[in-house]
Amino acid sequence: MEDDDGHGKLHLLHILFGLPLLLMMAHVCLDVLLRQVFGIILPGTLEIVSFHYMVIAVFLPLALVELWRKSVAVDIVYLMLPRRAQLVLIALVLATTAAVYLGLAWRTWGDAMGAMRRGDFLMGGRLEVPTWQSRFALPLGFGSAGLVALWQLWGVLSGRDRDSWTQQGANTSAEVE
Amino acid sequence: ADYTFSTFLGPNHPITLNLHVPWAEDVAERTDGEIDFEVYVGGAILPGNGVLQGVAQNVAQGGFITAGYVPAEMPVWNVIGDVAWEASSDYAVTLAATEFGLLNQLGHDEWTGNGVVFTGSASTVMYSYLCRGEPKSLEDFEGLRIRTAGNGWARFAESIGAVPVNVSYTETYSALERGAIECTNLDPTHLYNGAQVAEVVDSVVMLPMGPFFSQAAWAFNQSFWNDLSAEQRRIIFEESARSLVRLHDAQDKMLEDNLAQARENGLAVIEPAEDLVAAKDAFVADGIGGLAKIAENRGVANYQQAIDEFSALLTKWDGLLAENDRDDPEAMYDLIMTELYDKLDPETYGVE
Amino acid sequence: MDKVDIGLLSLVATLVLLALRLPIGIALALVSFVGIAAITSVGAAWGIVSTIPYSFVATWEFSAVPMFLLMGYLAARTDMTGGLFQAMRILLARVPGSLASASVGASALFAAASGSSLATSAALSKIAVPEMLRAGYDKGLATGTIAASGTLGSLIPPSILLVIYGLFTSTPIGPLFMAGFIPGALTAFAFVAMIMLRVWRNPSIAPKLQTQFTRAEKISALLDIWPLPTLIVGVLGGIFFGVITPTEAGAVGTALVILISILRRQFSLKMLAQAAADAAVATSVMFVIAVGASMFVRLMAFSQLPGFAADVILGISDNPFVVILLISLIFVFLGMFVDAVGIMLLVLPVIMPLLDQLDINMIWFGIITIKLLEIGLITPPVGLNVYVVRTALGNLVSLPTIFRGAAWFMLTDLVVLLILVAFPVITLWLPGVMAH
Ligand code: NA
Ligand code: NA
Repeated sequence: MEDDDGHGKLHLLHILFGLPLLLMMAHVCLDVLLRQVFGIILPGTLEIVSFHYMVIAVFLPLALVELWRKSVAVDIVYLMLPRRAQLVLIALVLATTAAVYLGLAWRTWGDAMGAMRRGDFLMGGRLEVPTWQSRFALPLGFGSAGLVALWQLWGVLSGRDRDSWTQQGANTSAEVE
Repeated sequence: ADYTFSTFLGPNHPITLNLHVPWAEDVAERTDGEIDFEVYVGGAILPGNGVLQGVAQNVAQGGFITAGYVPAEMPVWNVIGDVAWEASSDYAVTLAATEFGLLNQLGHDEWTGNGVVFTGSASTVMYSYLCRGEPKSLEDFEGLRIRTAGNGWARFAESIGAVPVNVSYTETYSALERGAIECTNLDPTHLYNGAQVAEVVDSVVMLPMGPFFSQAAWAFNQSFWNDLSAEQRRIIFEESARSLVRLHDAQDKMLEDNLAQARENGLAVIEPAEDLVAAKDAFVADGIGGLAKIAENRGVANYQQAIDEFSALLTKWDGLLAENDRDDPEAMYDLIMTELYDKLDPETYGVE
Repeated sequence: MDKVDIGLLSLVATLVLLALRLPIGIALALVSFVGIAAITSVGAAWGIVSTIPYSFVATWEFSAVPMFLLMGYLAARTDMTGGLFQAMRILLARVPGSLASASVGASALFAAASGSSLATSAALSKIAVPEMLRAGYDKGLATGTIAASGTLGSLIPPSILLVIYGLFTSTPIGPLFMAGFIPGALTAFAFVAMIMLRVWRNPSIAPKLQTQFTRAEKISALLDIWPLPTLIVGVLGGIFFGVITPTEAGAVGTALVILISILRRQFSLKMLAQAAADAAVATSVMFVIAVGASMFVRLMAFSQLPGFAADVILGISDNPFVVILLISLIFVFLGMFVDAVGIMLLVLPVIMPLLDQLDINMIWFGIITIKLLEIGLITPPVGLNVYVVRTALGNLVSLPTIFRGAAWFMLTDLVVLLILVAFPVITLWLPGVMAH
């Protein structure tokens, strides 16, 4: 994790994906500080954190998850298979992954459009917090992840990128438990 | 056949226990199992803010839908939510809201427009303040932090110089316990039921501040409703009426029990000081803290008509309840049938 | 085919898809969609897609998860671990197997800044393992210690697994955090005791160190340890005394780590941006699984399999201990192959009605669950903590060696688990104190 598994350089994308978390931290801390020290109540914190920062932070980086092959998978059987079978299996896995992501993207795109048309909002105490904007994080995240999976599938099918899938197997370096 | 009914309320909530569960059993029995709803509680199928969409899209065929979760979809019902500050009893609010959804064009069309069929509304007990300490007067409330569910409750808290705070329902108990808030704006049955805050408050301030009611106790998927027979719809109407009566009988008793237990455990049940009551009256007289203006800013069409017509229904039901004995279940059932459900044609109501 | 059959088939299908290397989140989402469509209708399945992922994620209490991740990444990047290990090793210099014991102690302390087991193992393996190998420690002992002590990260609060457990079972997070504290400390003590016992019986696996520490070294090392106790007081004390909610604790803890790193002159904006990006990706990785699981929860509800399973199991025995033993076997078996979040979210929806009927204390069961999941993290063939240690060491030590070394800790874990099951008061005392 300290060397990012070879992703050590800082890219614009990292800053973009990390930013919602830093904003979330700053916002919550400001809320705590104002409340505990000055007795001031910041309206809408709960709504903004849950319906904006969280939704964006969770769904937007999905493409990066696929690109870095961080999705948690069980490769115990996979590693025992001969190379040919591995390639067939990984192609099926990538095709399924792409199909699921793109299906989710298609559906949530319609939902996001609906939310925008209605102008979805919530009452955050006395403050009206519009919420529809972050809904687009779902189709964007799912869609981009689906495209990455398709691109990886094409890499396997065309023979451009097969070794990386068969030599090291699945990436099991989830860093969360 | 087996159908799904979705509510986000928990298994022990009075609305689950008295409204949905026995309703589903009775409807199943009277339709010989043709309409057999499995009631899924606690958001097991759909979360609170997803029930409207979920019922419209047939994830569940029926659901309990709170308008406050979906303000953009239910603008009119969100406006009338505050009008109940004018009402003198929770029972009147339930029946006025049920009439508003069944028979009033504005109230009815908003549910239909979202792809669901409305057959009744249900109100909680009137909200009050459950507090640490024993605040009575305007002066006592100055600067107190009060957990509110927004809307009129937040505006009123501000108008008396208190600070409305948004705390999630699950965190209410610990917020009171550690003194992050001094009061919560809830109905007093939450002393020993629901949020169960009796251990962390000292008093109940019995200032009635409208109940929580702006919801469909039952909303049904449009195509499910279309496929019912007229007889089945009539049974649903009758069982809905019966359930509303059962709910209010149970709630009356629950309120009584909670207050009695509170007194027994040394909590103060406080009548508000005159200046606090006067402040509330002034708040209501001021168009419930400028409700119309808020509705206008929000861009709600026909907001004034909705406020006026719902307000008239509240007056009507306050009157009817004064003439009838709310403790007599049979009389109340007859009243609800005559005034509301008998006026619907089961052949055509809600069918598209 | 009736609902229960579809539910059962879905469970089997999920396990098969997992074995075929489909990512867990994708497998759960796919099976849920097909299963719900089969039980109800395709339209309803799409309706679930519309409502569940969005409303599931847009939850205030969940915001603690990315914050705890960020806090852990920052703590590791600002090198809070290095000083910690040095201090512990000075403190425990006279104990047999002192470096291994110091690793356990350092892990336990670092766990207070990290919400995850893997992050804790990763943070310590690069510092502690090379030292132990240089001192001539047995390779299995050196690596196994780090792989196993890392699991303290999920038990000693804050804990991401406990946040997720609490939200999926409607158990309050504050008491859950408090409940993890003593079992975590007990585990650490048990690990140290086991290490001492092993070294006492076979001194060659951990040669005595000849290093003498000067007074100045001792003082400077102990002074270097202050960030972690500060964090513990700030975060856990804040929750305990009600200044902050467990949800806010992650954000406040992260701010504290930033503040401490500025004071120690180890802060840079680049480092902050990298940690945030790492945390964002890790958040996404985890929520893909959790979103799939939240759809799977709906499938289980529709299928009514959980109620059916509860009836079957209660028909066999309604003794809570027998049932817990049965559940433990399932957890340990799945733990051999599947990751912790995945197992928890696969099993919980199925066993919830059962726990409910037996009236099992959900705070206590939460700690038992974490303990079981931790065992899965160090059992072969798939033991993510072991993988992390091997990767961090650049494949210097082979997997079987690490697994063998970790096996001693797994046995110790089982003993601790038995104690926790037999004496619920160990787990429930502290949350009880907090309530009054
Ligand atoms: Na931890
Ligand atoms: Na394992």
